[in-house]
Amino acid sequence: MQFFLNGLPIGAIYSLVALGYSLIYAASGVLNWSQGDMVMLGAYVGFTVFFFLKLGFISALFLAIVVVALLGALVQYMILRPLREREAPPINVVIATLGVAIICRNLALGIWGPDPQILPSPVSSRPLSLAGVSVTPQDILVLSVGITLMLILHSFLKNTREGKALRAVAQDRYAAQLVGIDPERSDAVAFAASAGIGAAAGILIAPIFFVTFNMGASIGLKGFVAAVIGGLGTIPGAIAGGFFLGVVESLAGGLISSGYRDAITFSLLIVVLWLKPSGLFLRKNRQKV
Amino acid sequence: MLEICGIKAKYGHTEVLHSVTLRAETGRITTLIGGNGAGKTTTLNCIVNILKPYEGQILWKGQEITGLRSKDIVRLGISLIPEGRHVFPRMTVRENLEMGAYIRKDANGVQKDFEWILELFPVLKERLGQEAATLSGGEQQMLAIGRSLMGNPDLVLMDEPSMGLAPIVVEEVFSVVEQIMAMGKTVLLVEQNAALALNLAHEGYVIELGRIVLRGTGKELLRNPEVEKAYLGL
Ligand SMILES: Nc1ncnc2c1ncn2[C@@H]1O[C@H](COP(=O)(O)OP(=O)(O)OP(=O)(O)O)[C@@H](O)[C@H]1O
Ligand SMILES: [Mg+2]
Repeated sequence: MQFFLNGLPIGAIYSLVALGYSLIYAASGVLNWSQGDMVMLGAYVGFTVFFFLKLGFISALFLAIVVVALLGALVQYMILRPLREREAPPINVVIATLGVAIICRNLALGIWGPDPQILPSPVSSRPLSLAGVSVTPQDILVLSVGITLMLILHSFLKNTREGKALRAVAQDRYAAQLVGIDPERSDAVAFAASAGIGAAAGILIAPIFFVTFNMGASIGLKGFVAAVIGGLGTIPGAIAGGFFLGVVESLAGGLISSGYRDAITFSLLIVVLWLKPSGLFLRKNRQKV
Repeated sequence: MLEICGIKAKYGHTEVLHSVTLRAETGRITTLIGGNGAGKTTTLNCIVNILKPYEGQILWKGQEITGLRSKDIVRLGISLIPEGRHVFPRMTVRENLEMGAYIRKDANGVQKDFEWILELFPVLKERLGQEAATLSGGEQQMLAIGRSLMGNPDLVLMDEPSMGLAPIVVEEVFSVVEQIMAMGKTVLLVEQNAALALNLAHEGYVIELGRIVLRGTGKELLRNPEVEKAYLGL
């Protein structure tokens, strides 16, 4: 039970990162390998806002989301759209996102240096005992901000003009163009939303893990795995996959061996893919946003 | 009036439209018939610039639209009802119709058209909350037509609306085509069902292997021996 609960906050983080992968994949069919680096940039922007501008945690969160979201839209407009207009094969577009990832890491190393940083938590991380299990206020903060962001995303996709256009593009790009939607613009919206959500994840884990210039690699990979477990390209799948991965990791680490946690987790991934090749939560023909 | 003058188009390095010239008169039904792979869908995709013709011009209301972006062509009042319907599968019928009005700002007009379209297609009214993927083929075709009309287009391009439908549903669809025309809209109808299309249309064109090979009024083409042999199965 305790290990199950411990898995939820990190699961929420994985869900947020997984959402980024799935949203972009659903809209434009691109696997964005810079997703993890948006998490890293979010953490560093938050760190900068907190220590140098001396603003509070909420402002850091807000500014990080905005700055990194703009950067995401820029990546789509400045790098990916020209590639597609020149009819680059899809794999080359994916490789370009890998390039973006490496550029981000290098710039982060230059700007913020090689030393790991840590962002103080706005709440205490001393565990509280509740009905026989212990949770920290930090965990509760991560979970509640994470879930709030998911609800905001859901409502954005359901109720706003841009959100509906994005769903239309994801479901049928050709038909979307026929009703007058600019699919490149929807792609940019997807990139901005994904980057913004990733940045939020970065701020949320910054008080727990060290912020380093190459943290994007591991968190990005975990988020990707979560998206695949849930069924790449679906919103509910990304959320479920993230929590699933978080909980499994925590159970594997706590009950079996923390040294082999990753090995166990990834073995499980392979088993899941054997059993349900399209992902745990992807129903047949019910793809995408 | 829509005028297509000598357009050529290719997929990769293969030229599939060699020279297509046709016009669709305002307020009339013009049909384009031809066999599989003749280039009908390609022609329609060129009009909305989903595929860019590399030579030739397309004029709409006297203005050149060749090379404009699809989203801007749609905003000039041109709507394509694509082959194979292409409804948004995971959206409800209502959401699909709303997406059809994506380019419009006149909320009142949209609401009026919404009600009118539900009268035109009462089956859609019963299924407003249902996901489009769960509709039957005929219902999806009606939804595709309804979605297009929600944009209040002046020119409606229809690509094989009768494909795969039972005769009674085909009749319903064709009666809607006539109603659309009666509203003063211009219709360019692509069909494999040549007899039906030529009976309905004022003017017809026959396309073969990426070239327009015949043109005439609907009646003329119906009586043309070559058309009879190739497309009417007589
Ligand atoms: N996406 C594509 N890539 C390559 N070639 C294509 C593509 N779409 C169509 N073609 C080719 O272009 C030619 C014209 O195709 P088009 O779809 O316009 O025919 P059509 O008249 O609409 O036929 P049908 O009645 O079967 O729908 C065909 O030879 C087809 O194989
Ligand atoms: Mg066709």
